[in-house]
Amino acid sequence: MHYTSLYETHKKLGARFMEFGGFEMPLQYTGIIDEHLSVRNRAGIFDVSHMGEIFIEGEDAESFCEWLTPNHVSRLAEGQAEYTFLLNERGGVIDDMIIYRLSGKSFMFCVNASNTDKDFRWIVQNKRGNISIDDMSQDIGMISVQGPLSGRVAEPVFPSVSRLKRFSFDVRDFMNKQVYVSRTGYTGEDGYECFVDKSVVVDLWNALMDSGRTHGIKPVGLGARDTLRAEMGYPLYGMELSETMTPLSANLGWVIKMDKKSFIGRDALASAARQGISKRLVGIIMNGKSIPRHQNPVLLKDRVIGEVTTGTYSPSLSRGIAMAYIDNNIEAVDVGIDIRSILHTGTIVQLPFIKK
Amino acid sequence: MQLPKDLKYTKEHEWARIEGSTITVGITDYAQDKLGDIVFIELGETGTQLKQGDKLGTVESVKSVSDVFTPLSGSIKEVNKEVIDHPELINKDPYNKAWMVRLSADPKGSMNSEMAKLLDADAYEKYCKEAD
Repeated sequence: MHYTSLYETHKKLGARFMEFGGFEMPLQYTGIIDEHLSVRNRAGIFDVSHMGEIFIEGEDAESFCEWLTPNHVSRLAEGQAEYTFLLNERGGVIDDMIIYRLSGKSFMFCVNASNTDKDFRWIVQNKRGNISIDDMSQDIGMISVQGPLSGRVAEPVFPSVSRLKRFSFDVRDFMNKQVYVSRTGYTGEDGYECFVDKSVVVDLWNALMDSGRTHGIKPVGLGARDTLRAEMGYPLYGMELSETMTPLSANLGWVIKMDKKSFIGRDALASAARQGISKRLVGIIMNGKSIPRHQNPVLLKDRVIGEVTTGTYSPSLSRGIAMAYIDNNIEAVDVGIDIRSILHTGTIVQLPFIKK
Repeated sequence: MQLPKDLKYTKEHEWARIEGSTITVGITDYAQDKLGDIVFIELGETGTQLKQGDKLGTVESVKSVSDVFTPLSGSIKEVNKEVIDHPELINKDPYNKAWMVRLSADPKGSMNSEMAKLLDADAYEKYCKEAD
């Protein structure tokens, strides 16, 4: 089991822990609903140091990243970031990630903790040209501040940081260490993610907690991180994304830039796009109070048409919500979900569940 | 952790308050704390006959689903509608407002032998400490 540098800090804050991606991570502090609403209404601070950071540097870094990932890389300016994937040759998702352009010749990938080793092996296996590939995950801590007041929380620590555009980042100094501060997040709220040397991650946490106190900041665990991303319809690797599904089925075709001449998985995706997808990802809001769960069957009359990938309680809607893959030819909006052998009704809705 | 002395407890973390032939049932403070925010509860219907250890209903937190079992045999004579409408009462007041059902003890039943399988407050507290 791995521990982040903030483990003792979480213990002091009364966190309850869970294993995630090989790390002992805070599940909750005061309670998932309280933490969730704190992020929606004010601000929350997350330790996401379990996330992986892989650096690609060298003469051929840009052309290599362009080949390795399906989104445009050369169009990224220094200080810009974007959502993208590592795909296999079948167009399946090895991981979803954010790519950061650090300079003309260097990039950082922020990847899922549970996939970091797999991603690193895949990148090395596909290495082309004059580049170096370094997994720095053990040395870097990551703190995320999210919520409508996150700018006011971050400003005293990183002056003028709220001038950053969404999906842009700055290199800042904190206690003589370099910090990448990025206007990104996984909650649907405004927010900032900070990548910092792990020797000062506790100090950065404390600085942000201090500046956030007057704004009602609360520490937030992975429980609320999951309900926040589910309300936004954001995919989670292992639930909505896997090596056997293409991003096209997950409404993520916008990430795939077919005008790029070549990238890993392009041929398979071109053919999948021609044939049309067999399953599509939808959102379902329950009509009653029941809560759908992962792997519950989705039914139309008596026929199984799909399966729930993420099912949870939405604190913003006070309802059960689900993301589910259903047969793409289904046009009905009134469906059933079999929850522990009892049929409950729900309505297919456009994602996200809540409009921001 | 609150543990009223006048209640009986199970290793599945239910409590029973026994008043004559009426048995009031709920889940313990320890259980609600472990579950976290409780957002949904389903209970059996009035009139349902249950044997000790039968499933009485389910309790759902944001992240998990747990079954609730009856500590003693009996038939459901009353279901707490308030706790169904406001499951968060279980987190706030597990032994009073958040009672779940009232059972009529089986008149020809074996309540005494069933009672012997339940824990008193001290034994339950010890059991929870060992579980942590």
